[in-house]
Amino acid sequence: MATNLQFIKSESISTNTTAFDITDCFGVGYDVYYLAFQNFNSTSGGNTIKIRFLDSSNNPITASEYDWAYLNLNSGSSFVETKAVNQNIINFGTTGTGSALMNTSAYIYNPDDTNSYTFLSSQGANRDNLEGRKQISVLSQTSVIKGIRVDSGSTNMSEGTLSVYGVK
Amino acid sequence: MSKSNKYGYSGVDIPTQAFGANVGKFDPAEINELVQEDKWTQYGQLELIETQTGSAVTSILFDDIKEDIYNVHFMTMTNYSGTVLNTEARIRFYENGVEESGNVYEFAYLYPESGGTAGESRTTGISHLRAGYSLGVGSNRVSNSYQYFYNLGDASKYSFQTMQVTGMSTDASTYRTVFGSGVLTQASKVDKIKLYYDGGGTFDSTVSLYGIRYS
Repeated sequence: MATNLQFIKSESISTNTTAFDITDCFGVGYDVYYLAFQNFNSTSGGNTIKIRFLDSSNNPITASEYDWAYLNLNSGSSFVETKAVNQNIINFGTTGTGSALMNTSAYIYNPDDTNSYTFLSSQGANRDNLEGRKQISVLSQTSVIKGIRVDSGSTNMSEGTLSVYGVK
Repeated sequence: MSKSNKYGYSGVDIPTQAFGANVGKFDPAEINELVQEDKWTQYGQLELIETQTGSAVTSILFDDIKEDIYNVHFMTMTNYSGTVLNTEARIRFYENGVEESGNVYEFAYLYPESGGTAGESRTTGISHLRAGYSLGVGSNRVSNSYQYFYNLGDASKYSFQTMQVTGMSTDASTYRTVFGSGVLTQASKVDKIKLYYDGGGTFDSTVSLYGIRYS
């Protein structure tokens, strides 16, 4: 667990978009980064939020080299385990609308290290019909990662803040 | 940019100062001023708000959580032990100074155990969140946990929780972890956090509340 966080940058969605990039937030000298996803919404509730990492030129990596596994913990129904390999994007969370949106804390491991894959672990609390999520993911590339894209598919996001910290 | 004699500059446009982008030569008074304006670069954005140590208490109340500064809070609960077997460590929020005790919380937690299968706890209407449960009793059976809270100070959003616990269960030989999420299903401003014991007994723990700056 982090004993010290060092703020790198924070950005918010300002206009409707389906792809929100935060660039040049990695590659600044940390092995581990902490990301606080706050209040990501979509213009229709229950929309899946996905993420991709950005390469050294801050372009999204679209290779089918993402794996993930997560458990959805729902307050009103049975918990659901989901997993996938060799995907071109990571399923990451579910949005609500209005007052109950997607909030997640994530740790990213080794995005600066060209000898290691980039790993993610996260835990979130989302939407009005509470959906908790405990997740692990990996991008099985050893390339330098510079940033992250939040992707809402064909449905716009109008709100959301992503704050990035280095873990010292 | 403005012209003045400041930050080591004289008679030229003075660079705008901001976190991560301080430019110039600074005297102590200027640094103090920039710190107050939150424009001075100093690292350590996991900021301790308060630590409380409870010994044989029924509750711990954080009544100055600085919800206007932080959108994400982080809490640790270390060496928690109670006097009654199989009880819960519970959390309630206060809205504008009033404890919210209605059935307006939801949660979903999973509790894997070393001696059996993982169990699910979920509800869509209850009067509290949990920081741990089905806990053992005894000095060698303490539990430790952490929580993240989101949007406590945002009156237009629900307040969310994520948590993870590690500790011994009611059976002295059984290890348990708990993780999951919770929510106060009201768009309200939360200004206090109460940690309390449901078992009619008391508990010991050291609890620290942090704010994550710039969240």
